[in-house]
Formats: sequence, structure tokens, C-alpha cells
Amino acid sequence: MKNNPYLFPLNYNFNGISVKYTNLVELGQSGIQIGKISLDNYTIQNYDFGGPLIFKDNYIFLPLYKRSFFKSGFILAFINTKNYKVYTMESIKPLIWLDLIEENKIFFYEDIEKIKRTSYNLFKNN
Amino acid sequence: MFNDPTGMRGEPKDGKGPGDRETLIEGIILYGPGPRASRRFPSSQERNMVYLYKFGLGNSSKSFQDYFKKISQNQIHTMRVNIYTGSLGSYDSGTARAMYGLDDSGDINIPESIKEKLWDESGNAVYGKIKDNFATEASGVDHYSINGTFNPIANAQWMSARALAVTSNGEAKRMIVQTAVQSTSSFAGGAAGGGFKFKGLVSREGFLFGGVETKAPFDIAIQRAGFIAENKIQPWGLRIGSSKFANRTFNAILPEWNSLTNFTTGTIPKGTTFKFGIVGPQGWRYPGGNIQFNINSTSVIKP
Repeated sequence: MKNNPYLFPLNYNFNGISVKYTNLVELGQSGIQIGKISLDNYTIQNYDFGGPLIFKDNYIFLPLYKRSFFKSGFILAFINTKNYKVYTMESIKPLIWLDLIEENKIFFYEDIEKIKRTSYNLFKNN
Repeated sequence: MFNDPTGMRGEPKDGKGPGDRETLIEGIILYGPGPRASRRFPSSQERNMVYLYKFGLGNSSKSFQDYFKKISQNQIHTMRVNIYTGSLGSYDSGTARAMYGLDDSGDINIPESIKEKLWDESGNAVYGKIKDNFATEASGVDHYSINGTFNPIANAQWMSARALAVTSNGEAKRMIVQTAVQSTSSFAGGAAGGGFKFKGLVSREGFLFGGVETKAPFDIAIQRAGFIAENKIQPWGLRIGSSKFANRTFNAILPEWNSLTNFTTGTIPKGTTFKFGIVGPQGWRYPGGNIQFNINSTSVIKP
């Protein structure tokens, strides 16, 4: 199974919670896919998410597509699977291709060629 | 001054008058040499002849064909004469007066060759004028007003209606290019003016102002930069070649999204259903503006 922003699994089961990508569209001819996320048939409205995603503890980490006048791209988002709340980072990146979570850091690529790798610290205040 | 140049006398015999000519100009068949006497018209047209305008309606929409059927020959001829006299008006200047002098009645003595040329041009333009009028009536937007010119939404509404009156492949191509240029200009103009918020104007599918579903009236040549999936609706674009600059700019593809090393060309067969619209911007550096076709990639004929 492919696992990149073009092609990624659309259905997951995480701790008994069914997670699905629905209503997928592509960002123009680029091939990057975005769609709605449903958790146990509850669809999170108003946001479009890219893939692939990563699970960690009670959170789902995934890229959230954002379009603005000066810059379009993705911001890192995480969804609390207990209350379905969506949290986002502020910084917008052209692309977020999640790689892995290691030692409270989440690593991702900012381009499809996997040239630029970046990380964010997680749970800094915990 | 000229006398009632829109007047039509007599009826054609079996569709043609004696000595009439038949000329095919951009889909227009003219029977008869010209309007009746006026010194402002080309002398070759100064005869009491009858005009019969015939237009090829091609694959235009039924709404346009219905609209067209209601227009009389007189109305068409009036439009042509208005276009002609409008063009002639540009010669009503001191410079033209000095260059060409005045005739017996005090009008500027415009050379016959110029009048012939303008008259022929008016014949070519009249069909476009009818289509423009249809678009204005159907959309409720006057394309040539300030609103129609500078308001990108109004402009898009007018262009959508105007697309229904497309009757030939050549016209479709010209219109697609025109739409792309105008939409890009409108966006750039709005951006330069500041305060132009496009966020809600771009659909999830990436269309500026949304897309329109239709059936291909003819084979359409398209291309795509991204991977091709079977049996899936994917965005394709009008063929603009493999230039990275052109594709990033007009198809709004960020460098981080696609390296643009592989392009697939294909053809949408006539009669295939698809959705089309204008590529929406992805930030100010990637304004879009090309025509995007959302179509099942399996339906696209690939070489």
C-alpha cells in the first residue's frame, strides 16, 4: 500500500475508533489529495485534511490544508480522539508529509521529493 | 449623412437575388452585396439589394439556438450597420479630415478600400455581437460595463453564459484562452487593488468561482501533471505544454507538490461528461487561470 500525499490508506482503526477519509479531491493537477475526516461516522466539518496520518496516544496527527491570500499549504493538526477537538500549529508549510514520531518529536517532509525534513516538539508543556 | 441604411427592400428570389454573391466569412453566408445607398458605405454596396444572413449554429446550446431563432434579418443587419458605422466613427477626426479631405456633402472622403475593409469586418463581427448579446441577456451582466470588466464574479457569470453560444472548435479555443487571460488579470487586478478576498471564491475542487458540468461538444485536447488513477475523477488542464513556469503559474502547482517531470496528454472524447472551470489560485505566486477539467481519467483517451 502506498503511503504518500498522493496515495494513502483511507480507512484506519485505532483503539476501536474507525477513522475514514471521505469526499477526497485533488489539489489541481498536483496529485496531492485532501478530504474530510470521519471518526466513528462523525465528520469534522470545515476542514480538509491531507494524508497520510499518524496515531499517537489519544491523538491523530495529520496535515490540514489551508488556503490564504499570500500562501497556500498545510499546517500540522492533531485531533483528540476522545472529544474530536482539532488543534493546529500556526506555521504554514507548502507540504506536510508525516514521517514518524520519535522521542516526543514529530518529523515530516516539506516537499514531495523528501528533500527538506522538519520536526516539531510535541507535548512540550506536559 | 446616410439614409436609413438598415432598410431592406424586396425579398430574395429562392433565397438569392439576381447577381448576388455568396461569401463564406467565418461561418456567415451572405447573399447580396450590401446595404442600400449611402455615400458613407462602400460604393460596391450602394445598391438596393437584400441581405440574407445565415449562421452555422454548430454545437451551441439549445438556449442559444432558441435565442438566435427569434432574431430577425433586419435586426442582424442593423447590428452590422451599427458595428460598421461605429468603426467608421474612428475616422471622424481632424487627422482624417486632413488626410482624406471632404466630399461634396462635407463628409470626410474616406477611401473606398478602407470602407470595404470595415464593411467586411462588420460582417465578421456581427455574429460575435449576437452571441455577446445572448450572454448579456442570459447572465444579466453587461460584459462591457465597469462591473462586467472589473468584477471577476460578474465576468465569470458572463463568460459561462457566453460559452453556451460557442459554435466552433476555433471559437472555443479562443474563448478558453480569453477566459484564462481575463480571469488571471481580474485576480491580479484585485490583488493589486488590495482587499480582494478569494478564500471563499475557490471551491474544494480548486475551481475559481466553482465549476460547470457539461458534455464535451467536441474532442478536447488536455494534459495532466499528476499521476493517473483508473476510474477516478481527476483534474486535467488545457494543454499548455511542459514549461514548469507556465504549469506552476497557470495550473497553480507548487514546487513542493509536484516536480513536473511527467506529463500525460489525452483527449476528452466528444459527448463525455465533465466539470470545467478556472484553476483557482494557491497564493499570490501561483494565481492559476488555466481551464481545469475534472473528469474520470479512464474516460480520457491517452495516446
